[in-house]
Amino acid sequence: MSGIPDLTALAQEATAAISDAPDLEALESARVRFLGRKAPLTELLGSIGTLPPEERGRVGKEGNAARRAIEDALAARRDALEADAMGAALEADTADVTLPGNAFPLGALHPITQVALEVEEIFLGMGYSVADGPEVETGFNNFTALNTPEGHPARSESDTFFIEGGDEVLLRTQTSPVQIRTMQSGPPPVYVIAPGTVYRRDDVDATHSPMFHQVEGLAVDEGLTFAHLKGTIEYFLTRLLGDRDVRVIPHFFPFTEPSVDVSVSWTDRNGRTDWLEVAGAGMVDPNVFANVGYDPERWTGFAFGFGLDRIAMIRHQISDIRLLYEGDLRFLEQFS
Amino acid sequence: MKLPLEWLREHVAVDLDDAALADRLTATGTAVERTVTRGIPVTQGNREAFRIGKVLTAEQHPDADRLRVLSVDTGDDAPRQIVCGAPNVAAGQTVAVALPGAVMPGGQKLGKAKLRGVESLGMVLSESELEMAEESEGILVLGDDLAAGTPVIDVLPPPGTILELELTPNRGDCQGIYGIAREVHAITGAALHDLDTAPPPEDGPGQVGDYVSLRVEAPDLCPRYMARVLLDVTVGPSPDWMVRRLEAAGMRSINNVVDITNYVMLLTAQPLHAFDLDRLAGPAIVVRRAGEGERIVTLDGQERTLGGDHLVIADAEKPAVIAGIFGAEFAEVGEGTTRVLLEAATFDGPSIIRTSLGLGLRTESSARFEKGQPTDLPPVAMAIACRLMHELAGASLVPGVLDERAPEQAPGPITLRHARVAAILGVDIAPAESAEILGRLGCTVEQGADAHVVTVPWWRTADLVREIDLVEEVGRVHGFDRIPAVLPRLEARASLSPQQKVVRRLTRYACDQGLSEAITYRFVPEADADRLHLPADDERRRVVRIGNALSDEMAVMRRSLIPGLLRAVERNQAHQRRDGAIFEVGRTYIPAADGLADEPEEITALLFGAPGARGWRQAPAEVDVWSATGLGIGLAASVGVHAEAVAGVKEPWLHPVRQARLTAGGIVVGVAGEVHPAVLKAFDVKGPVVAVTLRIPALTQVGPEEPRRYVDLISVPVSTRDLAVLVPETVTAAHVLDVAREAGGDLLQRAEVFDHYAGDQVPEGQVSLAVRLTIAEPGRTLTDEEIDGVTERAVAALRDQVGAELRS
Repeated sequence: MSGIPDLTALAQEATAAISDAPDLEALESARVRFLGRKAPLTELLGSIGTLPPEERGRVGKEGNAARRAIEDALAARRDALEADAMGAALEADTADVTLPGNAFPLGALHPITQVALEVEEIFLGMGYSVADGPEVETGFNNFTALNTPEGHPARSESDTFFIEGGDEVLLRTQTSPVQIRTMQSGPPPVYVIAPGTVYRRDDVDATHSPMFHQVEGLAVDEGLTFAHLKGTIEYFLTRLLGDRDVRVIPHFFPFTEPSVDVSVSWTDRNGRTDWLEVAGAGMVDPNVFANVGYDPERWTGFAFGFGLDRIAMIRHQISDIRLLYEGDLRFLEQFS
Repeated sequence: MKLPLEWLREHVAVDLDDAALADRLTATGTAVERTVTRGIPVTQGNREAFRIGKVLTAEQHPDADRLRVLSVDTGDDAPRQIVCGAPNVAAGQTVAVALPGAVMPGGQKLGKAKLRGVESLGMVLSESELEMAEESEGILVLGDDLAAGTPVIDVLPPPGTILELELTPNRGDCQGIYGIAREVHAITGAALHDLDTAPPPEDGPGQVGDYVSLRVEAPDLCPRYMARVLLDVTVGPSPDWMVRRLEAAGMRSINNVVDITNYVMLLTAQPLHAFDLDRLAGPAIVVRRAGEGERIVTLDGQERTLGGDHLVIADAEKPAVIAGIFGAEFAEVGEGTTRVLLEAATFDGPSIIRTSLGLGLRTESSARFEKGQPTDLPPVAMAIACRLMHELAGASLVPGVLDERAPEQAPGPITLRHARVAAILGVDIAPAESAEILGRLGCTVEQGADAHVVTVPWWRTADLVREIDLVEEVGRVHGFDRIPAVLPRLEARASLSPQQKVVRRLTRYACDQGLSEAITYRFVPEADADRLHLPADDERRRVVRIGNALSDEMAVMRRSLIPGLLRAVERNQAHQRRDGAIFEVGRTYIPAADGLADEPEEITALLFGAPGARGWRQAPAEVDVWSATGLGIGLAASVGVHAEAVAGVKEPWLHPVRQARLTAGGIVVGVAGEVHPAVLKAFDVKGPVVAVTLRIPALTQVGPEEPRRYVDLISVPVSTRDLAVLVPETVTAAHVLDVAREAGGDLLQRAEVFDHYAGDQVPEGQVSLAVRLTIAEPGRTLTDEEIDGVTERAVAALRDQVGAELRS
C-alpha cells in the first residue's frame, strides 16, 4: 500500500472539477473519475479492511465524508445544468402569443331577454314572483275586467287582433290581463311581475311592431299606498337604468286611479337631456278589485307596466324596432 | 290640442311666465308636449337676426334641381348668398330672412349651412317656419314698400306662445280654452274670470217655431239638441283678432259665420253647426238614424254611404250633417246666406267613435264629442255664439229656442273620507287642503270631521263619479312630487317556477354553446304547414287563426318555431352568412276546447353550414344529424334530463332517416335531425341545416332527477375493457349498448361506443363498433375472473342477440 491519499485535497480537486463541468457529459466523466469503480476514493473505501485497525475508523469516516461532499456537488451541478438546459430549450420554443387563441364560441341572449332577466332578478330580490298568462285571451280579461268597457276604441278591429270563430277572443294587447288571472287564482297578498309578449294591430315600421313585449307588475296588500308605488318604481328604474332622476306625473289609465306616467332623465347621443317616458302605473282601481272579488276597502295595491322593447332600444341605442324580430345574426351576435 | 296662451290669459289671471305655466300643467297631468312661439320669439338677438330682404337674383343651384342660389339684400353693405328650396322664390321679391344666430319658433338656433356644396348665410322664411301656418306652399312674400334690413318683428303680428297639449281621455272638459282656464285656476289658484254668456237682444220677428221644426227621433244618441234662428246675417270676412286666434289654435278662417262656430268651439269645447236655413227642406230638423245605404255629399265633395247605426241631422228630406262629425255641402253657410239656423247639441260619445272609425272621418268636432260632452254645455256655447253673430255678422236673433233634452238622472254628492285619502296616497293631506283643492276645481264641498260631502260641477260629472276619482284630484293638485317614495316591506317568498327555471337554464346553455337567440313573429303564414310537408291530416294543421290579420304572412299563430327560424336562416344566408347557430324559446298555439289556446313552449335551434369557432388552426365541421342529437342531448342534460336519441321517427320536415327522437324516462322530449332538403327548398334555404326541438313542458315533467347518491368508485380499482365488434349495419349503436348492459349486469358500470367504422377491411353490410366497458363494484375489489366474466357475458350476448363478431 502506497499510503493513504490526502482526502481533503482529493475532495477539493473533485468539487472544483465538478463545478467546472460545462455540460452533463463532462459531469458524468467527473463522476467516473472521482466516484467510479476505479476511482482512488472508491478503492480506498473498498480496502479499509486491509488497513491497520487503528487507522480504519479515521479513514472510513473521512473517506465517507469526502464521498458525500462529492455526491452533493455532483447533484447540485446536475440540477444547475438541467435547469440551464431546460431554460435554453424553452427559450428556443418560440410562439407568437398574439395570434388568436383557440376560440370558445359564446352566443348571445336576445336584448329583450336580457332586459327581462334583469327585471326579473330585481323583482325576485324584492320578493315578487314571476307570473304568466296566455296570449290568446278573452275580451273580459284583457278589457272588461280592467275597466275598459265595450265600445271603447281599443276594443275595435283596427287596434286589436281578434281570433276567428271566438267570442271576442283576442291576442292580448297588454300584459295586464295577467293581473286579473293572478287575482282570480287566489287571495291577497299578491306581489307579481309578468313579462310577456303582447300584440297590437299596428303596421310594421321603424317604431311600430304588431308584436312586442311588456312587463306588468302588481302588488296588492293591506296598507299599500301611492308612496309605495313611487318607492318601488324609483328603486326598480334606478337598479335597471342606473342612478338617474325619475319623474312621476298624472296620467289616465282605465284600470288604475290615480294613474301616472313615469319618465327618467336621459341624455341622448347629442348630449341633450330630456324626460323619457318609460312606464305607466297607478293605484289599482276599486272596480278592478270588485271584478275579481277582492274587497277594495280592505286591500289596496298598485300596478305598473312598461315596454321591454323600448327599454332594450333605449339601452342599446337601437333606432329601428324591426331589427329585434328579423333573426339577423349580424344584429343578435352584437349582444353576447 | 293647441293652446294659445294669449287667449288663455284673457280668462285666467295667472302670473306664472309661459315656461313655468307649462311645467305646472305637465306636473298636474295636462301634459305639454311642445312649446312653440308663433311668430318670431322675443330674444336678445332676434330683432337683429330677422330682417326684411330683397331678392336681387335667383340662380339655379349647380347640383340640385330644386334649389336656387339667391343674392339677397338684407340691409348690410353687401348682399348675402342664401340657398332656397321654395318653388315660389323669384328675383324682385320682398321676403323675411333669418340670419345665422336667429332663434327659431321651436327654440332651435339657426347656423350657417352648406346645401349641396353651396354656402347659405341665412334662410328665407315661410309662414310654417314661423309657426304661423300648419303648412306653406312656399316662402312668405311681403309688400314691396318694406325696406331691406327692417326688423321683421316690427312687421309681423306680435308673437305668441302656444302650448301643444296631450289631453287624457277623461278630460273632455279641457278641450276648450275656458276648460283649461278652469284647470289653471285649480292648479295655481289664479283668479278665473266668468265667461260672458249674456244673451244678445232677441230682435228678430216672430218665434223660432215659425221658421223651423225640430224632431229628435234618436234621443239615445242625442241627449240634447238646441237650435236657434238668426236673420239678416251678412256673411263676410272675420275680424283680424278672430282670424289670428283661430290660426293660432290650428284652424283656418272661412267666413265670419263658420269662424264664429269654430271660435266658440275652441273656447268652450262645444262644437256648433250653422245651417243655411233657406236650403233646408221643410224647413225642418230631424235627428235620426240614417237609412241603410243613404248617401250624403260632405263638405269635402266626397259622397259617403251611411249605415243604420249612423246618426244624422236631416232636413225634411235628406241628411244635412253626419251628426257631430261633418256637414253636407248643400246646407252650408256661404256667400248669399242671410238666414242661419245654429245648432248646439250633445251626442253619444261611443256612437260618434263608431261612426268616425267606420267612415274614416275624424274632425275637430268629432274629437270633442268622442269624449262625451255634458248636456249643460250647449246653452253656454249658444249664448256666446249668438252674441258674436249679432256683433260680427249683424244678425238679429229670433226669440225662442228649440231645445229637446232627454231626461237625465242628476248625480248625487260624493262622500270623500279623509282616511281614504291617506290610505290611497300614503300622505296626510289636511281636510282643509282637500276642501280647498276641490273647491278650486268647481266642487261644492260640505266639510266634515271624518269626510267631506262633495258636489261635482256639471262640467266634471263624467269623470268625477266615485270617491277614488276625488282622491286622484286631491293627489294630483297637491302634487305627486310631494308624496314620499317608500319601499313596501313584504315577506319574501318568491321563487321561479320549475318551468321558468328550465327555460332560463336552456337559454343560458344554448348561448354557452355559441348559439344566439332570436325572437320571430308568432303569427305566421298558414302555408307554413305545406312548406313543412305536413300531411293533410296532420294534427298540427289545426291553428289559431286571426280574423283581422295584417296580411297573409301574419295570418295564423304558429304551431312550430321551425318556420320562423328557417326564415331567419334564409335572411342570414341572403346576407352572405353561410354558417350560423340560432335558437328561439317561445310558445306555440294549439286551439283549445274553451275557444282559447294551449300555449306550450318549446326551444328550437337551427345550425347551418359549419358553425362554431373558425380559427387559424380550427375548422368547424359541417353540421349533420349528430350535431343535432348532440346539441339536443346537451340541452336536455343542462336541465338535468338524460335524454337518448332513438331511431325510427318520421317527422315529415326532417330527413327521412337522418333524424332521431329524443326520449327520457320513457317520455318523448323532442326531436333532432337534418332538415329535409325539400323543406329547405320551400323556405329558400341552402343546406346543410339541422334542427333540434325540445318540448319544455316535457322537460319540466321529466325534470331534474332526485339528488344522485354517492357511489364509491374511488377507493376501488376500476377496470376498462375495449371490444371491437362487427355488427350488421342495421343494428343500432343504442341496441348494441343495451344488449351489453343487460348481459354485463350490476358490475358493468358503463358501456359506450367510442368508434364507428365501415369500409376497408369491414365486410359489406357490416360496421365495426368499438365499445368500452367499465367494470367495478363499489367498495370491493373485483377478481380477474369476475372482470373477465363480465366481458365474456357481454361478448356472448352480442354474438347471440345481434350477430356480433369479435374482431381480433
